[in-house]
Amino acid sequence: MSALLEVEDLRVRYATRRGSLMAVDGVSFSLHAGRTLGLVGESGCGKSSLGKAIMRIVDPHSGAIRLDGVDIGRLSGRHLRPHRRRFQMVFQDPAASLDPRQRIRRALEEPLAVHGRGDRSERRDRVREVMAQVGLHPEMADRLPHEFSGGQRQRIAIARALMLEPSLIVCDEPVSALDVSLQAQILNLLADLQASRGIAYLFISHDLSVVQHLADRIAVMYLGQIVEIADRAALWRSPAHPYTQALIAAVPRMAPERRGLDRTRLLPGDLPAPQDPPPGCRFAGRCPFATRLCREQAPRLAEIAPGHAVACHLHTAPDAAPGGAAAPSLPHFLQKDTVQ
Amino acid sequence: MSLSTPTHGGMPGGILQRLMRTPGLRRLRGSRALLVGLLLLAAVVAVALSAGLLYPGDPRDMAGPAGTWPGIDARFPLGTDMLGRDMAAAMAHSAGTSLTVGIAAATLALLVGIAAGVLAGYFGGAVDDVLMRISELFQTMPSLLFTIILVVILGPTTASISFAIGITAWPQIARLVRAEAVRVRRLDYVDAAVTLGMGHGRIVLLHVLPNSLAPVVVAASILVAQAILSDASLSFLGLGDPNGMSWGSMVGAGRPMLRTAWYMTALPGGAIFLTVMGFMLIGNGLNDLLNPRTPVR
Amino acid sequence: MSLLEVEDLTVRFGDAVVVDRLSFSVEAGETLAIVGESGCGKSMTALALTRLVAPPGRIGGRVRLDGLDLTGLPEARMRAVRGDRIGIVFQDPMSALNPVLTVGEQVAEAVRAHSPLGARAARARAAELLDLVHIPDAHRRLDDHPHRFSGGMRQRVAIAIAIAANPALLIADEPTTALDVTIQAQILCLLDELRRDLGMGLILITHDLGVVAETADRVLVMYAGRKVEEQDTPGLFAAPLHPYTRRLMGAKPRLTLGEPPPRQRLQEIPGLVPLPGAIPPGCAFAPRCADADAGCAAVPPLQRHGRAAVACHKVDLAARAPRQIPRWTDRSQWRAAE
Ligand SMILES: Nc1ncnc2c1ncn2[C@@H]1O[C@H](COP(=O)(O)OP(=O)(O)O)[C@@H](O)[C@H]1O
Ligand SMILES: Nc1ncnc2c1ncn2[C@@H]1O[C@H](COP(=O)(O)OP(=O)(O)O)[C@@H](O)[C@H]1O
Ligand code: SF4
Ligand code: SF4
Ligand SMILES: [Mg+2]
Ligand SMILES: [Mg+2]
Repeated sequence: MSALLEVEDLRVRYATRRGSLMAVDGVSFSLHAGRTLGLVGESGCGKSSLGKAIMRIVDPHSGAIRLDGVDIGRLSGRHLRPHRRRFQMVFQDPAASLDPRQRIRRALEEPLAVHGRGDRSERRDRVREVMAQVGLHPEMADRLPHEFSGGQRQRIAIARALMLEPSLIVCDEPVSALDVSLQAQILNLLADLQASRGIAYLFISHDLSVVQHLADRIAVMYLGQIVEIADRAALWRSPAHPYTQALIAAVPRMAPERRGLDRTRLLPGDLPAPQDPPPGCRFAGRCPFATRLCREQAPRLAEIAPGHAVACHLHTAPDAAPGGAAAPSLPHFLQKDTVQ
Repeated sequence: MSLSTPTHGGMPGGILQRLMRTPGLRRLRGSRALLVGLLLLAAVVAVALSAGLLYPGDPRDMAGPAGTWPGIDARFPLGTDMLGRDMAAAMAHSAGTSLTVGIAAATLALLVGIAAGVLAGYFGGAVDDVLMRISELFQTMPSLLFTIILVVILGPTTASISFAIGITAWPQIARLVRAEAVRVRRLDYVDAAVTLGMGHGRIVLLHVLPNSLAPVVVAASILVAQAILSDASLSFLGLGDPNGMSWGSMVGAGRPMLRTAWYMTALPGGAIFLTVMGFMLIGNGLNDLLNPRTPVR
Repeated sequence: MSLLEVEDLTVRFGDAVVVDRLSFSVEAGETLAIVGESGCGKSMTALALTRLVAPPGRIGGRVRLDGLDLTGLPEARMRAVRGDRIGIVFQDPMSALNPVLTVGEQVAEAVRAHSPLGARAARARAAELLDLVHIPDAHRRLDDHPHRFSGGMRQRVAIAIAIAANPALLIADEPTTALDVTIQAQILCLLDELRRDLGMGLILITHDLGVVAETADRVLVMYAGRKVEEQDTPGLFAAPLHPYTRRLMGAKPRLTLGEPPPRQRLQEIPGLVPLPGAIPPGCAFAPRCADADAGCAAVPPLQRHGRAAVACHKVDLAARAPRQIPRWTDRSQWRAAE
């Protein structure tokens, strides 16, 4: 089966006052129809930039974005428009994702109008249909965004993304701004839509528990690059990159027996400035296992098991034990937790 | 959930909605500045509209003895000037001129300023650089001097005066609008429009422009006040429309008599003051109304 | 006697009751978590404890710190209490610091506000404090401005300022909500360490039950301005009493290590948190509660049993709560046992 979305060596560059910055630096992955790829990493690591490049909101600096084999990274304007209906986006901030002056009906009809779909009454029907799908009363269509709660606005944003029946939706932290009880509603809605419409999600989040809940495959980003990518079972069973392990270790869990966090398990320091990333492994400054090799030479993303790729010298350097992740000598951030 | 962000009651529709939602116009009454300003403006407009009815003749015709002080002759409640013209008639007919110039100049400044501001803010980059350089050029020149030069070149008609005043005032509007447009362009709903495949023109007209106008509402009334003052200054300097009457030219004409008949300058001066004041109060009142300091949930 | 004793604390804005007769206590050296969804009155509680609620808001009830009644204190003395006896850390590390002053100046300022130290001594103490909150190279970073610090580092500086006068009580209002998980873990760890080493009482306000589980001794769950449940942390996670607490736990996806769990629908809580001023009569949770019946039209009384408390008609606390044993940190109980 060929992939719905294939991203190859994608780079996104911004010119800033402090110099140019490669927010996404050589990212490759693929996503199959009807599946969910979770993208995790600390804020500033380039998740949104990657999502926006795929959505063609920002222009990629280099690389390819293939949707069903068509490189939409190189199309522009008139040529891109017909493809746009295939991929849509849901944004993080429910307060900013709707035009405050536009009634919900207008906001939802807009995609149909831009793509010249249907006549007036057909558009109205479609608005009713999709509003019902996302759990909104169709009578609410004539309200303005400020008359809705945050969770309802996120439903509207999802409805707008659904209007053109896309095969891919990029969800950029769609529940991060919501309270737990609303998060559950939106996450369930996304899961239901995937089950009924076969939509694929690129699901961006900094919340690992949400990603574990939703994603079939997970990519972990650090400073513009993917450091580990694996299927659900493999990633959670045997996270292989020290950064992935540190991230997992840091997530507060509803387990009071962990009271009194163990200092030694904490990941020290902050994300380095993206303007001049460290040479060698970008994680070396915070990694407790860093060696000279790590500081001098960047590790390449390499498969350690089928479908499970990691960028870390521990797994790939010549003197590392064969078998990578399974090697017993591998230092492990999670040692205490894995013995459950 | 904080709902404080998306309430930019920018366009008149927005203001109206807000007013209507306010029970019993409580907020409007709360803003005394706006109320006083609106009353002042209403009075000036009423005078301007009824000038032809009240004083059907040419206000420049001699009507009685020259230099009659106000309150002496019942026929001339505001007295007569040194040529024996009825001050009341002159004042009433001038009101229209001042308002026309003020509003026409402000409209021009708004049109140019909003267009330049939105384009600069939305597109950024080279478009922004060029437009902002031009606006800086206008702003660094002393605006009255620039206006005078334009009026001298174009000839002193109401239209050319309005044009000259308006064309020097647009940069302030452009900067305001640009700042808003830069903010709005970064909001997710603009990105969402991009992902629909909407063209730049439509995005600007539909999303960016309407949401960038909030600060303009306030600025516009202050702009009218400024324009009326500039017009008065021009007329005072003798650069006004020789065929029309204006408060500015009345002040200019009365100046030599300042010692003996100060009412000849004080009356039109006061009219200018009250009108400008009216627009300023409206501006401030709108500002209070649209940007209340108490947080809105 | 506890370090902090709060009785019937109430905050209202006009007719809207934002905090409704909240009573709780905090021991020295103990962490009390206040948890609830946004808008339930957590921050207002923190502000009311220090009498910082902005004017149209009115505070009622009694707050006693070490036996001193803060409610009747004149404003001038209350100012001395703030910072000196109670330190506060807020959510947003970006706006907590003044961008035009150096970090050293700001910490030294806090030191001098409550002690007669001279400028040099205060600066030395500032360096000590920055070291205490684990800012690397504290001495050299004194002269940096806040914008040179990352979010996590700024939050450390804010904490240093809050503990500058060795307060007896530290209130942290969502101190890690704006931070990434790895940084969050660092900050939580730091707060825990400071509480232990300085013997402070810590009130940790959060919306994240995971954070509660890992840092708190005791938990107070708020809903619509009211306390709906209070328990020791292990008890709360082992057996949440109030339907709202149970629903909240079911709504949050849990991170599982090792084999990922099979997919399940999350438990939704239908509807929305009520707004202050529009809180339903009777049990405020009733419109969203699956267990509600006609009896819930009356306000449920707060049942107490030992250190546990719950406000729900359908829970018989005396029958369900585990036996309460004296608490190690509670010295008054020690003496009583003698
Ligand atoms: N429009 C922009 N101009 C310049 N820099 C940007 C822009 N957008 C993002 N960045 C920078 O790019 C990096 C990645 O940002 P982003 O993709 O938003 O990360 P994430 O979504 O993972 O938090 C950050 O360092 C951020 O400051
Ligand atoms: N100045 C105010 N006037 C009226 N209501 C307010 C004011 N400030 C806060 N509130 C209300 O008080 C309630 C509690 O707010 P807050 O304590 O900040 O909640 P939390 O910290 O739990 O998210 C909110 O519903 C908020 O709307
Ligand atoms: S390559 Fe070296 S520094 Fe990078 S993650 Fe692996 S061990 Fe750590
Ligand atoms: S009192 Fe009734 S409505 Fe309230 S939580 Fe208990 S069962 Fe639910
Ligand atoms: Mg992002
Ligand atoms: Mg709060």
